[in-house]
Amino acid sequence: MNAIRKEFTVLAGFVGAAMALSGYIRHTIQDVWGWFNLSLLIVGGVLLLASVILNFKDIAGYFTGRTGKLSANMAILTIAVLGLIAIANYLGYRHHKRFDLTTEGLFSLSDQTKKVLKNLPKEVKVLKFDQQPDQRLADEMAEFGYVTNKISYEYVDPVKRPEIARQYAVKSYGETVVTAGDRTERPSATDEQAMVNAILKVTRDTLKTVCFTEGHEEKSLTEAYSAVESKLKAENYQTKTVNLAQQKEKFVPSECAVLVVAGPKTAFLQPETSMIGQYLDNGGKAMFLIDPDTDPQLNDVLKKWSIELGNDLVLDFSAAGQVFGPAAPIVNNYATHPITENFARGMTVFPQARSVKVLAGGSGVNSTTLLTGSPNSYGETDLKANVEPKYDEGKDTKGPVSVGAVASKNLGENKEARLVVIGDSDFASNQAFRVSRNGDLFMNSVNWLAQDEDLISIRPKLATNRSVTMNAEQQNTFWILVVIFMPLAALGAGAFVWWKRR
Amino acid sequence: MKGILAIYRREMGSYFVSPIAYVVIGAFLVAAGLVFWIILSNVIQYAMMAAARQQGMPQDIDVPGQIIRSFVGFVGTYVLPILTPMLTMGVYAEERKRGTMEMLMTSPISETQIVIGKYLASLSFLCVMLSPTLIYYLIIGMYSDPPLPWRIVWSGYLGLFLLGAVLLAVGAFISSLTENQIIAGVVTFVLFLTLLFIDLSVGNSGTALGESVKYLSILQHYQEFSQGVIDTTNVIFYLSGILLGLFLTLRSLDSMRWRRA
Repeated sequence: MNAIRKEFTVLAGFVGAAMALSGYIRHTIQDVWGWFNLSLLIVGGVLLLASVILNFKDIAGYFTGRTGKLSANMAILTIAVLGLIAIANYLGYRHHKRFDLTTEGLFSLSDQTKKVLKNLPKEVKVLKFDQQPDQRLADEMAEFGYVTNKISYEYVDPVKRPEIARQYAVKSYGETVVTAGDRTERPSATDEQAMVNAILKVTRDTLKTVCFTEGHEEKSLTEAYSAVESKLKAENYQTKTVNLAQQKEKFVPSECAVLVVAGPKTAFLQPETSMIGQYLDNGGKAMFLIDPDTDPQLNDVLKKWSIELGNDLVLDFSAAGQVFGPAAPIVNNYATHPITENFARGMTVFPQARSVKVLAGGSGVNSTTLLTGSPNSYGETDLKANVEPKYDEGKDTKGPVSVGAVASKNLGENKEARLVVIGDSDFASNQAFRVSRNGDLFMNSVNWLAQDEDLISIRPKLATNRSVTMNAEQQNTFWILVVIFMPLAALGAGAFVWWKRR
Repeated sequence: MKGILAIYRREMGSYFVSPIAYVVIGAFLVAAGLVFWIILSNVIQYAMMAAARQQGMPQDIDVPGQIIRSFVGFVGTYVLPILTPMLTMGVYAEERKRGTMEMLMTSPISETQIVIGKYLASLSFLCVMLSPTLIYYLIIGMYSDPPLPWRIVWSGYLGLFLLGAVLLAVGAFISSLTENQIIAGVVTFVLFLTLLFIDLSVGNSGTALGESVKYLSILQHYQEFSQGVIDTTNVIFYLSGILLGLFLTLRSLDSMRWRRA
């Protein structure tokens, strides 16, 4: 009995020490003395103290006499071994090698990612603001962290630490913030490609410039397009207005990563159009947003890209067209393209749009329709106010009409000219920018146009589609085999041994 | 070597001559078979539903991969921490209680040989217990198209083996501290639970200390194996755990000798 009591008191000492220690560790990690941590510490401390008092004689004897010496030796040896193990683990943690046995390489970063991460010029912080930790993102960032030690990841519960959420201007749960220096990027997806591109954007030396033409009554960045302006700034672009007619060198400024022509009402002059044409021919990237009932004289440029603007107004008198009125067609049919990649069935709205047609047979140019209206839409060519609008066969543009097209031309040496043409500039103005996916359409277009060699595209790695086809009967046979037969075999072997021994 | 072998034989005999080992293995196989079957039918059903929901464009699902991950995860998280304390609680405590420890200690066999021999025997028992479950994969492999990813099976079972090996080494150490089997078993079980779930109590803090505590969580290192990733960090962690357990057992036996003297 005495022996058992002694064991218990010794045990209480160890348990108490463990409790007190865990309470202290929890405190240092959480930075608060909650009642739980405090009671852990106190109860653990009391247990430890009681144990020491009850076993005082043994402990005192332990440190004097021969056993004391031997114990000291043992303690030193144990500490040395513990230290060695700790060092081995630390080194193993810092320098490790991974073997990915999945046939698809699901858990390996692409070579491009590794290259980007190895050459990171500065520290990057990744923060996830959500109610729940994002294990997948944490794993991914750990993976990034194996390549570089310049990336740190932190999960933040915005309720528990509102000051951090405020510091990064977080507005909703689930936001991911990538930040370096004074730049921040908020990628909407967190897959490898999105994260690498966000990291590239915040660490890039110079900001990309998006140029807006002026001098033809275009939408102004300070007025109708101020939402566009602030969104571009938030996504780490510089904006600039350029008056092509006043350029001394007769070139579109080379700093323009993207040239936007946003709803001109008066025509471009001949030298201006040839500057734009030349810019595109040399691998420039442009976005034309051309409203109906205007003629900016860009048709010659567009023809080279197999794109034609219709002289019409897109109308939609079907049920879908009634949401914002017949003259504001809704689009929810998108081409498979990086710009509209995640739109699914999300809609975009174009108040007063003209049709944009892709012509057949452009040489060396890759042109496709991007935005297609509802089957009931058509392009009204008779724009006189006193005429009742109706579809006139042979005269009007037959539906479904397209209101947007994209084109690209490979110029070799990683150079590609890109063009986005949309038959409307109002969709991105302040009133419409936040309607449904309109803002995304504009920003994705700019992102696609501004994409250069260092922003990379990584094919997402997917698990191989493996199936196990077992019908109910086969599953039942499996059940009988593994739940009945296999355990019985084990028991049978036992019975055999037992019987043999008798 | 001879000494190790002698101890190993003696231990294996004590496991497999008595019918208890067969009952334990039989019970384990019932539980493992049931769990595997439940996982199998659930994943198959899920894959079928997912395919039906997105006609024409079914999402890619690696059914056998999912099954391996879930099953290996279940065994590692729930079965091993319960079963290994039962295996180890008697290893030294029982010998001490019956007084056979003195016999061993006074025999020409060294303590190192005793510790390694006993440890290898318990590892063998673990292997004998786990290996029949590989038959499951042979069976579902017949129905798998494209073929079963065996490399993930091997990496998952390597993880399972390493996890079990750490638990056995630590359990043996605790058994060597006491004469009471029950105390050894309970303390081992509680310690395993703590080690398994220590990362939950820390949460996602990101501090260096938090990371270190998280690093100690046995489960953290285990998950990657079942996904088909073998990371040297995890292997080093488990090997250190085994070494530490064996070393401490050895010191404990050592102290038994000179404390009596």
